[in-house]
Amino acid sequence: MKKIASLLLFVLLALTLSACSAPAPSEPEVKTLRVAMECGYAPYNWSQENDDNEAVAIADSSNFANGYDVMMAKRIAEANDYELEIVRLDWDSLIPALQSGEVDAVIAGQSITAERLEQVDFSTPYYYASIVTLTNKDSVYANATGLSDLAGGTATSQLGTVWYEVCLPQIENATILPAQESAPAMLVALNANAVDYVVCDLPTAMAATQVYENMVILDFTGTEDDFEVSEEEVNLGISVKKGNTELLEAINSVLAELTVEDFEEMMDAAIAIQPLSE
Amino acid sequence: MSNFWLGVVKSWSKYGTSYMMGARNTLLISLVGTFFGCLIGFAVGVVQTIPSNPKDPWLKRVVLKLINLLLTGYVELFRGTPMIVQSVFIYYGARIAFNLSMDMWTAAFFIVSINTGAYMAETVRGGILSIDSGQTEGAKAVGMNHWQTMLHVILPQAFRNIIPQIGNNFIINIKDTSVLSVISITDLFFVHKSVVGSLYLYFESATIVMVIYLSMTLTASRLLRWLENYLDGDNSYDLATTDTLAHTSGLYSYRPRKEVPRN
Repeated sequence: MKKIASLLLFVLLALTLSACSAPAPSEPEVKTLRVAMECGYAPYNWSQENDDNEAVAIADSSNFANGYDVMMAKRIAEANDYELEIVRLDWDSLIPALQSGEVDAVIAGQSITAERLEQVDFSTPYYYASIVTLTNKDSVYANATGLSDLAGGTATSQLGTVWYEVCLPQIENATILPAQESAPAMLVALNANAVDYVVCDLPTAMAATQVYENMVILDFTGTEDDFEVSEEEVNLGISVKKGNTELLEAINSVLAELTVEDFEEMMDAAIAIQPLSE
Repeated sequence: MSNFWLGVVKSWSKYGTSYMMGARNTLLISLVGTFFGCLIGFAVGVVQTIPSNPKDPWLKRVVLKLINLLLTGYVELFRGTPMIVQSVFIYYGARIAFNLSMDMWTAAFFIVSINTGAYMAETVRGGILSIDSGQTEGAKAVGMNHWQTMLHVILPQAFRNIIPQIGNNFIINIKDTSVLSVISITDLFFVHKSVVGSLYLYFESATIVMVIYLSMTLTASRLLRWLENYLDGDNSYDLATTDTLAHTSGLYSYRPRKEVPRN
């Protein structure tokens, strides 16, 4: 029995070692572009069980990914003759995956912050996400016309976002509850009246109102009484490993040909086909 | 309320296969991880309980001391840090530091096994210590060495005693594999997160996932309880003797038996 046990241990060790191999040295003929995203952040990216609406297969999975980010990834891959591969990853591991070379690019609705720029390189913006407030129709804040009308409320937002870290502190006398781990979780808090309002970007808010009919979007954009955020904080970028200028230039050349109207058009298309719209 | 159930039905009809695939991955990693973890735990636990005698040659004592130090380090390191952090270190760290690219499944099996091993090592050590020292003395008295004593006397009894803990570890693994989503493993919880992010139906999906988790853990604990009972055997024994006086000793209880054909 001892022999069997040690033999099994040896096999486990051997398997582990054999699975660790050096990266392939030969340059493949068609370059594969491995793009990471959560595949669970509609309308930017989501997963589905079939390839409807030209969804792309997710690596090592029977699922398919689609959404604004996937559409953008497809454009970049097509323009540069890359073979596209979508990798589903948790939000927290997107940047380590880039740094370790596990994936080539991250297209996941990341805003271009100074902290992230220290870790990875960002493309030019691939979407301009305006920030809005979401509240319940029967709330006293439902008729707010500016930031000052939100004063004194209870609020939360998603962890690690500009919405939570930059926008919420700008509301006067607001009680800011701990951040929620995801956008859907923060919507649950709002729906349960645990908070008076939440702050997020327009595409997320539009998705929310489709599921929760009792929610209403407060958009102060263009008024004096709005959240003050720097351009770079709300612009979403595509990130690559630091120093990967070749890929960065390839991505930027594709983005340079697209206008803000093109972005909006693509986002509308994504919103129209997202699973929660059905 | 009916809206809620509609949401459950919608989540399931759109992502039913994904849930089942996620459950399969969760179960697979937990099973493999618990199995190899137990082997590691047994190996470490047995080595850690080798008695050190001041009369032994100094070389043996030094080597034993070193190995024990190493094993204690292993146990404390993996027991004392979150599995999610270890995953990131092992999977991405190995790539950055040593240019070592590990297949994500290998990494997953490795991480869960080595974690379970660290917990099981302590459990096995406790299991071995819980066996009365009279058993060891008895084994020594009939001329068994340390390994023989372990294999034939102590470990079978220790194993029976730690089965509940193996079950605990398995159930913990079923739930804890959810952290492997950081290395791209699509387990049941990650499927839940994807579905929630795609449909924004939070509680509806959580309900489905809860039912699946519960049916997996309940089945596991039932099976292990059955294994315990099986290993315990009958709770009453008859002396294997032809001595009719045994009938009066109280060690023989008459029970009607199944008809055994006589030859």
